[in-house]
Amino acid sequence: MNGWIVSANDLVVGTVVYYAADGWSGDIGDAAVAADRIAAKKLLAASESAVRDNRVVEPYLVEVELCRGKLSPLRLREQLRHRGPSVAQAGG
Amino acid sequence: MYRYDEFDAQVVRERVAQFRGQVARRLAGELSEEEFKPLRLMNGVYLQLHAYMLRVAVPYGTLSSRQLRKLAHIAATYDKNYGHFTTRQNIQFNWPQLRDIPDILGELSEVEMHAIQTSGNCIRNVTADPFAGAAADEIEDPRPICELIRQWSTFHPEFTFLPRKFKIAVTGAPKDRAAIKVHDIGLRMHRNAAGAPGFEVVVGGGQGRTPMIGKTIRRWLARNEILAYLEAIMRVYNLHGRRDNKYKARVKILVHEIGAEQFAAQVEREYENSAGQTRKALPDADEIRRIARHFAPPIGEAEAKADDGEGAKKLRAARAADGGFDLWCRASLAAHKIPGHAIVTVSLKPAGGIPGDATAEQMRSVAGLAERFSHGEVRVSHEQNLVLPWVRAAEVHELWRGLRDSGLAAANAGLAGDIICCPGLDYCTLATARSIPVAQQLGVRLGGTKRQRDIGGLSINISGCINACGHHHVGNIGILGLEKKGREFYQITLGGSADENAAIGDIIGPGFAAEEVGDAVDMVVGTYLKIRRAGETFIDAYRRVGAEPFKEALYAA
Repeated sequence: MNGWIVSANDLVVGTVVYYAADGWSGDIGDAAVAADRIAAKKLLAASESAVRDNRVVEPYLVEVELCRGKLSPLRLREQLRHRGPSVAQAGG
Repeated sequence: MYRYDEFDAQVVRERVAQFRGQVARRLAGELSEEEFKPLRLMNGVYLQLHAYMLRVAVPYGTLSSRQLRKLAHIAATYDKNYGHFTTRQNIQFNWPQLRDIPDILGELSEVEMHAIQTSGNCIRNVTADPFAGAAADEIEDPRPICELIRQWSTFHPEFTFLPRKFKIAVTGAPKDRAAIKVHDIGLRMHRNAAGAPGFEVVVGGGQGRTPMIGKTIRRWLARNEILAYLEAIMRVYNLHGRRDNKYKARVKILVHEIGAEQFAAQVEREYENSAGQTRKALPDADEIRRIARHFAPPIGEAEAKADDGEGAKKLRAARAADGGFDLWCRASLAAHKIPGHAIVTVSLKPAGGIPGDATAEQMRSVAGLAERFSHGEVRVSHEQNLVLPWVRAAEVHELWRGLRDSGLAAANAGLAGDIICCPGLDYCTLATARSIPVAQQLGVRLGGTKRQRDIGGLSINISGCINACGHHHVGNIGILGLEKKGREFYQITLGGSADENAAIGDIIGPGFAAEEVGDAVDMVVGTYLKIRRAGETFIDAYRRVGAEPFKEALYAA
């Protein structure tokens, strides 16, 4: 099943966050899922209050697939945002 | 090296304080993101895929060991213990937190560094030959002119909101190591018929989605006319450059649309008209001499004259005794203008590593080695390597051992493994495909130093999108990552070159899936090895035979 979630970057730290039922979470598994485009629009509108509250930057919709209870973004860009860089970091 | 005067120091200090206030207002909700974004960009702060990114300017690629230690400290304290040296001779930190950035900028200001002009539609950090001041083939060190341009362009009120970003590169040598022909303005020093040094002025080069080689609009310009002439160019561009379409806003489009001759005529007219006002305002000869004194070679005339050839003899003996060291020397040493010295390139391209990345420990190590062996001076090259410009021939072997201990002795500078690569989709919000994994894969596949030596000089440049930060258009082999139907694929160009014979590469045919790129590059290299004549480099062979043999090898099956 496909759906939409809302993602943004944390204002202070810059990390990737997802809009959840009780606020914003760094865990995609917590994300609130909209099943169709109309619900997705509503979800995005609801998330925008956090922009006004200075918690996140530039929220937008991300299309995801729900497979065996796990959310996975469809686009590679969003998969990388979710998992982090696909390459080991020099300082790591 | 240039040292800030009281005005430089004050400007940077005030800028940090100003940005500290802006960040505080943003975090307190007094500024919206829309209001804050242009302010943060003017201070080098981007928001990338996973985090904020801070781009720090390294003016004309020159760093002191003290500055490099500070960069290491920032990497270790505020980031994930590494930094990424870029194709514009800058450094980027990929993981700073917004709340820390004013402190980072404060720390940078302590060592005369900042992030001004690393973003936005202004004149960006000026780049230069990384061998400047030391190269044997150089006419004059171009960095005093670069510094003059830096001072003139910093916060220049007339050029703070240009149609688009603007990049200037300068070389003082006939061998172009600064890629001047693919910059908005490229300045190449040469002598006129009377033997006086001056600059050829090249305008309208660039990469991105519309790659172009710059056109010469002045064959020779006296050094003391540089700022007035640059001002004339900027005024013509500011007036006529397009602001309605960001993809057509760079000066290269204007030069292309009206023609180089017409553009030159307008510049000359503006130059003559503005000469009365502007030239008076230029720094006088004393000020230019004051700046130039900062760039005097750290090696005294007496020492230079005292060279008895013993250092070179010692180096030859060490090379003869140690094959690994000799291979590294062949790739890493360049001829120096001072007898008994060498310019040393420190490759940041270990096989399978991330091009341009250096850990905090590696930065500290290079800083320490620069203090011991290079008068405390380091350069950053647009090939994303570091350079130690003032090394005694007698001490090269000891330096190499120090580099080897820090994992910095890859013997591939100028060879196929010396891959230029942007951060790509692993980090960059503009990217359409990953570039680093392709570079890593190729770095391993291209084999060891001996095979790379057999292949000879070959540049492989990789960009993760059409913006071409990885300079793919001017790679002998260029690789451009794109997205097609949700999958990464890679377009290959051949025949590009960033030197004095600059050329934009030809798209060779349909793109390749990520897993096919390694085989495709192997096929291109294999074809070259089959067709080359004795002593012929890849680019020479390509220019002789054209694309056909490569197309046939890649697509015939």
